[in-house]
Amino acid sequence: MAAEESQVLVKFITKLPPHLRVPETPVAVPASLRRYGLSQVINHLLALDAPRPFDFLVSGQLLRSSLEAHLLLAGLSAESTLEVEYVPAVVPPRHRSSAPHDDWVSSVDGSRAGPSPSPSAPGTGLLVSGSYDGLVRLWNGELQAVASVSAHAGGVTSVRMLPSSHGDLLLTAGKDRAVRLWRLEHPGSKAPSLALLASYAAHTDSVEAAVPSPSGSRVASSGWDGRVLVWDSGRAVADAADEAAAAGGGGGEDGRKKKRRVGGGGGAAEGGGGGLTVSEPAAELRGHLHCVSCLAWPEEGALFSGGWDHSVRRWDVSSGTVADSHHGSKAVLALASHPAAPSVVAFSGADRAIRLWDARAPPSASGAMAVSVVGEHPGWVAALAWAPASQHHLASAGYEGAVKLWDVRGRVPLATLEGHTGKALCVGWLGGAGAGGKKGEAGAGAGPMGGLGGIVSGGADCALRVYDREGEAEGERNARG
Amino acid sequence: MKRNAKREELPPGSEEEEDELAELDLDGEEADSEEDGGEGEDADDGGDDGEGEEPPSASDAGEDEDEIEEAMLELMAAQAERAQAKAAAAARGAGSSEEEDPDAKPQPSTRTQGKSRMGPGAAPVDVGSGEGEGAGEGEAGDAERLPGGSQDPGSDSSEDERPNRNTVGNVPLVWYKDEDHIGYDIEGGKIGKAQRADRLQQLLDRNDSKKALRTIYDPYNDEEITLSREELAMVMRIRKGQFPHVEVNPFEPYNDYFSREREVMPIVDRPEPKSRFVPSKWEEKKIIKLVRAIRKGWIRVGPPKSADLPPEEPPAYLLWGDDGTVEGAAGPGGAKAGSGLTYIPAPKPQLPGHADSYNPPAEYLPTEEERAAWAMADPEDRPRTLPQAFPSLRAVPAYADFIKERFERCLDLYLCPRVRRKRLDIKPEQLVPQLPRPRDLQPFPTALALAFEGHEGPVRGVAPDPWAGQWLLSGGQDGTLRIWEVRTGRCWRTWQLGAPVAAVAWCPNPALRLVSAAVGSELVLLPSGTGPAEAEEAAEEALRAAVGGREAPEEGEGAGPGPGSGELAAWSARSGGGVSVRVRFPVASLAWHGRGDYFASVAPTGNTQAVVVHQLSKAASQNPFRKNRGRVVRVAFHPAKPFLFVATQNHVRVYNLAKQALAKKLLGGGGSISCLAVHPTGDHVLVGSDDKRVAWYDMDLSNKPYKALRHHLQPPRAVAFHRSYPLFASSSDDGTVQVFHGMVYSDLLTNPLIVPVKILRGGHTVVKSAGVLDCAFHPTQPWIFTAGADSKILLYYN
Repeated sequence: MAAEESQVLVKFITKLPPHLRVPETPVAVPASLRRYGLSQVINHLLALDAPRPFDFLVSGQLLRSSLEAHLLLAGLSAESTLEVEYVPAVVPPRHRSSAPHDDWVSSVDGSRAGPSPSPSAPGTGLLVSGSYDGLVRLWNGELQAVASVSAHAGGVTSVRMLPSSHGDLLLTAGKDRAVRLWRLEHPGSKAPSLALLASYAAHTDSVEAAVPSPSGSRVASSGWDGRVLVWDSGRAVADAADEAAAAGGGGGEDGRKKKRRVGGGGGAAEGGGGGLTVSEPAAELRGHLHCVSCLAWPEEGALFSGGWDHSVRRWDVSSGTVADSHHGSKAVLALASHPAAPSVVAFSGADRAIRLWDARAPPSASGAMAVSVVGEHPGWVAALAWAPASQHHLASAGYEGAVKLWDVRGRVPLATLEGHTGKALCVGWLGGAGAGGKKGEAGAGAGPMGGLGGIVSGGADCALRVYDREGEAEGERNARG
Repeated sequence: MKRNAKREELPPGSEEEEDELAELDLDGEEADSEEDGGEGEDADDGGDDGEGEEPPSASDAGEDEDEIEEAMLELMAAQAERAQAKAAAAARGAGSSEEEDPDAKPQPSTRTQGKSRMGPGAAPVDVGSGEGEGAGEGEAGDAERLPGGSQDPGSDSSEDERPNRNTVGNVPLVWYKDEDHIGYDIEGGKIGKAQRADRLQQLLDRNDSKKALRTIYDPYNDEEITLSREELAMVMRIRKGQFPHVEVNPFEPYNDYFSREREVMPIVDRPEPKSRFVPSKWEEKKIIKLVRAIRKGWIRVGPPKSADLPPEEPPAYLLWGDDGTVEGAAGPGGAKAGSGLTYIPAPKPQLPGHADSYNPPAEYLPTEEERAAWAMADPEDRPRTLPQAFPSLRAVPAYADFIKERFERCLDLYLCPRVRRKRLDIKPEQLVPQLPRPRDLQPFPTALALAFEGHEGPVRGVAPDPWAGQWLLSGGQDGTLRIWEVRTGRCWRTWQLGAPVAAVAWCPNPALRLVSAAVGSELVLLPSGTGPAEAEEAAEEALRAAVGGREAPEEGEGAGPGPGSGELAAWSARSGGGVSVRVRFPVASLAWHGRGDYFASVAPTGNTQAVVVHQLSKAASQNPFRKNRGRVVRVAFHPAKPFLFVATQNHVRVYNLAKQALAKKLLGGGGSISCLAVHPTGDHVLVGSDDKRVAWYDMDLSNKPYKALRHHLQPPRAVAFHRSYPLFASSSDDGTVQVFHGMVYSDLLTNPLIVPVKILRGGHTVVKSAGVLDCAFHPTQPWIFTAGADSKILLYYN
């Protein structure tokens, strides 16, 4: 080792299970080491048979340059012992398969899809996609269309599964100003189907977003009429719909609100049933000036909305008032939040940058500091999705056709998944929040590199693309050498 | 004896004074003897008495008397001192007398002589002569010891009492030393010298006579004067520095008659005279004089200013200095001329050399050949003069060319005055108006966001929906009318209209959501399908009402019947849905009124029927103008008032539709007008014309452009205002869209601020010299849609 090469005293810490921990004695490493070099050091210290890639966090920031440069940039002293936390590196998922559509894929939900148990095996569970042809399609693990239903005339803008605690309920929204609640019949079978439970009809213009609350008992929708409407949903509505269907033409009059039975107006394609029509929302959140294009509901009491009036607002849902708002200069088209960090929201839109707004930071202290830039796309960002298994990872779909994977602790994308030949319009993670968490815990025992799960994206090239950790081994090999 | 006698004479004193006196006497004698030695020599030098040593001369005698007198005065002074300090009497009295003798002696004698005995002029003369000559005369000696004797001549009144006998005046008495007389009396008779007793006799007399001590000799009058006791006392007082007369009291109580205290019983109780209150007339006159003098600068007050100071002359005139320093009056040659003009001095001629001498050295003289060559050469080319030798300066003839040169000089001055031209030092950037920086004027569209691709020919018109900006309507040369989703750029709906679409527009009525397009000579109204079901129904209803139940023709799309012979337009239902309004001439543009009921179509070729205003609710068309002055290009409705803007090739006429009168006429520029846009307030108009100019008219200001923007390289195709942001843009055949910040202030005093902020280039390619055919702003975002001849629609965002 050259004498003039500076060394940094580094103490490696981690939250990984004990067999992946290295002794906490400071080690002198060359300051010119980068992530790969440090990963080699850790592998060497652990004496692992199969080398594993690690990522390193220095004072909460992902190390993406040499240690020297990072210290210089962060203004840290190179003489004191540096605490470096190492986490398993996120291996970029690899494209597994893609499913062609008849039209642009506008929305996708992969929360009921499981990752493939082995690299060779197909995935499990169901994928839901909404398309501009108005169809909501169900896909099985091999990405074969198992069911489709014409849900919204003029195009589906949003499909979201409700939490599994309420059963297999699907929330869709479309250009026909309606929000609909569906039940997935026989989800485990070869031929599942969708039955319409209820239509929420109070929007006067296209609905752009519909999200369920974390508990699933309520849903919120918003659209071009500038309103954010909160509806009752979940098992209660499903039961009411069942009752109404059973009662036939008797008309279901719920005690809390007026529900009107629709007399078979939906047409044959609507899953064979009419369902309830709910025309009165449980609450209306007023404040946005123009279109409210995106919603995120990380916590039961707090709902985020972003709109074309350049604002991101955090609503206190119980009182219906704005708890906090951030006003930018560009129209917001996409929002994402994570239940583990309910006050942080990532948003983007008619803007190259993906920004992170921490509503906890007092706006008076420094408004600029409350909003930070995570990363950049060359064009607009159509969709954002927070990894359910990690509160640090974020996927974004850009109009240039790429899906990018971000760690919010660093500004360099972890992976850029190119494949869409047109705009990428939607992105989602495979596995739900609850499932992801469980899986993560389970995976920690089996293998700590369990990771984030797969990514599914749809775009203007009429394709639904699934990226899975199928290529993990190969990625690891890449990371090693 | 002597002492006794003396004692009697003296004023009553103590016993001890006797001893003192004795001692004094002794001292005085000693002093006397000493002085005698000294003065005897003087006397010998000065002249001969003829009497030798012993007989005391007049001066000697006088001196002796003086000594006595002095001693006596000393005694008296000592007596006064004694009274104050008796304790140290003996030792001090002796010491002081010893020491002070030589100093004290002269003063009393001179005083008495100069003041009381001698004439007023005598003492000064004595001083002069005595000092100068060192005369041996006693009085000269006296005078010598009198420094200030001449200061108070004639102050003594005793002169009158004792008039001078002698009349010789103020002459040195030495002159009469050898004469028998001492002078002349008033009748001119000689005054003979008195026969004086010899010194021994005198001494004896002195000792015998009581009065001898106070007898002094007056050499001028040659007589002896005996001082009275009063005179002596007076002398004593003067010596002490007291007033000569006892009765004078210098410390009388002062009676302050006129004090500033106001007395109860004042001495004078007259009222203050008026003059004390009236400003003095004479002082005023004096002040006026001074003021005038100050104003005119005759008098200067205060320290002299630098400008008032005479300019400092250079220590020497720089004879050989450069005259070129014209700037400022400081330079020696650069002073301004009397006319105030600044001249560039002519270049200096060379100083004459040897060749120019009247008698140059031989080597400077031209040879015969040179002379011939000079004569042969052209007068323009040859040197002016040829060296020539003259024996003397007298022989030099007058300068032959004098008149000619003077004339030429005058010609020079007249034809080519060397006037310095004042160069304006203006930098080009100073001429550019101070505009705010574009980045301070954000937001405005800057970057390409989306391309709406689908048209198969030039896109002739774009229009976003005016409510929320969710949809974009476009019509192209390929005969399609399309609705796009703005957010994703997806073509949402397409109508095939069969013929090139010239213009598109949304019906502003939000309840209907109708779109309209100009296709050939037909206007097509279609329900957009973007609104809610009620809007669809309302649109269908309105269109059905418009066509009055007439069914669509069966034969084909867009082939409705033309207008009848008396009709302006024919309304009919379209086979593909919607309504078609056929007019007689091909329609180039259409414009909707803000309410969404009226719309106007423009057919530039249709002379009198160029502008037709249609009413949707009544399915009626009318021609507001019986004839149009010029070829109508565009029309636009005022957003709030019942005004119609009609742009012909040269003018924009603003008609008041309610009054049916011309309200205003905006004058165009050089080129024919091609496009028009009205500001959302209705007070400003943008006009693009074929001379590549985009003109901003302020309706309240003038009928001429407030600002003309010539930034395009090709004529503009479309101009557009933003509905809410202070933005406007123009698109041109050069393939660029130029975005401007156009802030209109609500107060009427501030002119609009127009700043070019962005040129959007590179998005569209120019196809067959057609660039960007239309542009429109998003209704709520600072985004702009541009429709190009390259079949693309682009969205630029901030």
